[in-house]
Amino acid sequence: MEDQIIKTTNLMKTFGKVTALNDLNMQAPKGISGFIGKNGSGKTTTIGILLGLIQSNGGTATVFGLDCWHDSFEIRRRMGVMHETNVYPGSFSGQRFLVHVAKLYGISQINPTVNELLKDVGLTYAQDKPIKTYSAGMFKRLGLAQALIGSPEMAILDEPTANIDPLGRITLLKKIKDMHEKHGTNFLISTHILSDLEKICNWLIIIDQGKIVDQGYMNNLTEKYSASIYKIEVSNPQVFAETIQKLDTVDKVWIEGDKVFCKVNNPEVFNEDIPKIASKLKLRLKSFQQMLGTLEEIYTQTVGEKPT
Amino acid sequence: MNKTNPKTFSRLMLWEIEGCLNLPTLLLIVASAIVAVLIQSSSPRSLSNSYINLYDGASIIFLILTLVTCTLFSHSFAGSLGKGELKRILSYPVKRWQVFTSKIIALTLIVFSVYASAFTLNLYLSSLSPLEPMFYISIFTMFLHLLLVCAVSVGISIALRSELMSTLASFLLLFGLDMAFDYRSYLSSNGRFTYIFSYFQQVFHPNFSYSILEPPATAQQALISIATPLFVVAIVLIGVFVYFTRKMEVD
Ligand SMILES: Nc1ncnc2c1ncn2[C@@H]1O[C@H](COP(=O)(O)OP(=O)(O)OP(=O)(O)O)[C@@H](O)[C@H]1O
Ligand SMILES: [Mg+2]
Repeated sequence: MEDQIIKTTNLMKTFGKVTALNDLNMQAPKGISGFIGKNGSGKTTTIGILLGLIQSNGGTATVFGLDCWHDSFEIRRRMGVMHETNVYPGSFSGQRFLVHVAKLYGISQINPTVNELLKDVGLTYAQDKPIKTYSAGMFKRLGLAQALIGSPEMAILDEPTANIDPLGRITLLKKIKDMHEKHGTNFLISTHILSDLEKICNWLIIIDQGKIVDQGYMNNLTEKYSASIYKIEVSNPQVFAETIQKLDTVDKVWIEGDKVFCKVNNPEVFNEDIPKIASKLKLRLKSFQQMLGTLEEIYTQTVGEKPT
Repeated sequence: MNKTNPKTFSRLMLWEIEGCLNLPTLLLIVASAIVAVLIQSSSPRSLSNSYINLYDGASIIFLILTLVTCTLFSHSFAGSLGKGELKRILSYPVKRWQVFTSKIIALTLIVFSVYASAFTLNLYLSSLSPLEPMFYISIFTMFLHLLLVCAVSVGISIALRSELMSTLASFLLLFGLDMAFDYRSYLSSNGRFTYIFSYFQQVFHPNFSYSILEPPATAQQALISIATPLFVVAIVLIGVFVYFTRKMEVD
């Protein structure tokens, strides 16, 4: 039963008149969990509550089965965090800073641990430079190192790949995956860059306007959503889209480029209808396929908007 | 299960101190202290070989001490709250009370030791004996003032969460009080210093020809001058401490 590391029930948080979290029921099991949602959907607020930095207005939040506000110290002892904003003491060298953090976690073998971490995140070459001279990518890597320093059971990373070039992103994500495989560290990664998560996550949480829209194992979700999405290429997408919009089997239609996409509720019937409609409208049906679920489609369907 | 690492507190404190020593901050504190003492000792009424020099121009020291302390504490509290540094620190396995007290103790220690050391220049400049009791009375009053400024700026920092605003607000508040009330009021730093100095002057130098206050301050006046800032400090710091450790949200 204690499979879920993170669990919130009906979690509420308001800032004055702004409702940041609205009955949030979120779960994250062992493994690498992706936490996705638009800007302002409540990701950072949720993370703040999980760490005991922010107090909720209602509902419960637990990590490792412990209450996030009252037992936050014990939770933080077993968890590492990398926040959205990276503020590190600029005058310290990366190495010296990590030694300081290691001491707070009460690590016995400080220097070997720090050196290994620096190597793992690929920062050894800059370990003696003052942090203020680091680039954005180096900041993120230092952030990852300080999150992983206490060999945490779980590390929360808030937008770890923001501001990083594509190559740096791939390297960082690979590091995260390596860490999971090497030390069994579990991750909760918040982001709005979907392609990032596709490669490494096994669990996905989608949040919108302070509510969970869907969550589950990646492969279950892709199956669930892929079956109902179609991509159709016809000679006149506009006319075609307008026509199928009226069908009962079709929930939603949108056009991207010269392709028509639609979400259907009865694939069997729809499969047979498409060629008929095309010939009736005297349109040429170039291609017609059920989508393989990618994160982008899941996201588009749940949050209902093109991802950023 | 809920044990803190016993060394966490001292580590946080060393961290705070190291943060100060790394920046040009320390240089600034030292320079400000020396300048303050030098301005003070060049006051026009300067007598040679007299402890009275410790009193004259002390308002300059208090003024500069207020400015430096406000800046430093606002930087450490409002600054780290606003920039998200506190958020990072409080995400490590540390207790909130440890972060709060270590910051206060570390900064108070730094400012006090620098100002007390600079103040000993006075012994040399006015050719005083290192055993001159009024020297220690002056240092004690300075410490009292430092505590008051610390409490005020920490309180305002936590309320405003903006480094610049909090520096300005706490400095203007304290400076305003000093301007609005003269040397015969418990509300101004100069007033409290005058009462304390005048009372102890009689105690330690009863036969000295010149008294800074006529009639000299009574024991009660001296006591109120000591108790007032201590009372304010206790109330503000306890209030802020409770808020910081139990309620405060960091985002
Ligand atoms: N301290 C605060 N005061 C007022 N409103 C806040 C505060 N913090 C967050 N909010 C509001 O709560 C909502 C959720 O914000 P949050 O930062 O959790 O979003 P997010 O999902 O992390 O977004 P992003 O992807 O931009 O980081 C937003 O509407 C935001 O304006
Ligand atoms: Mg965020």
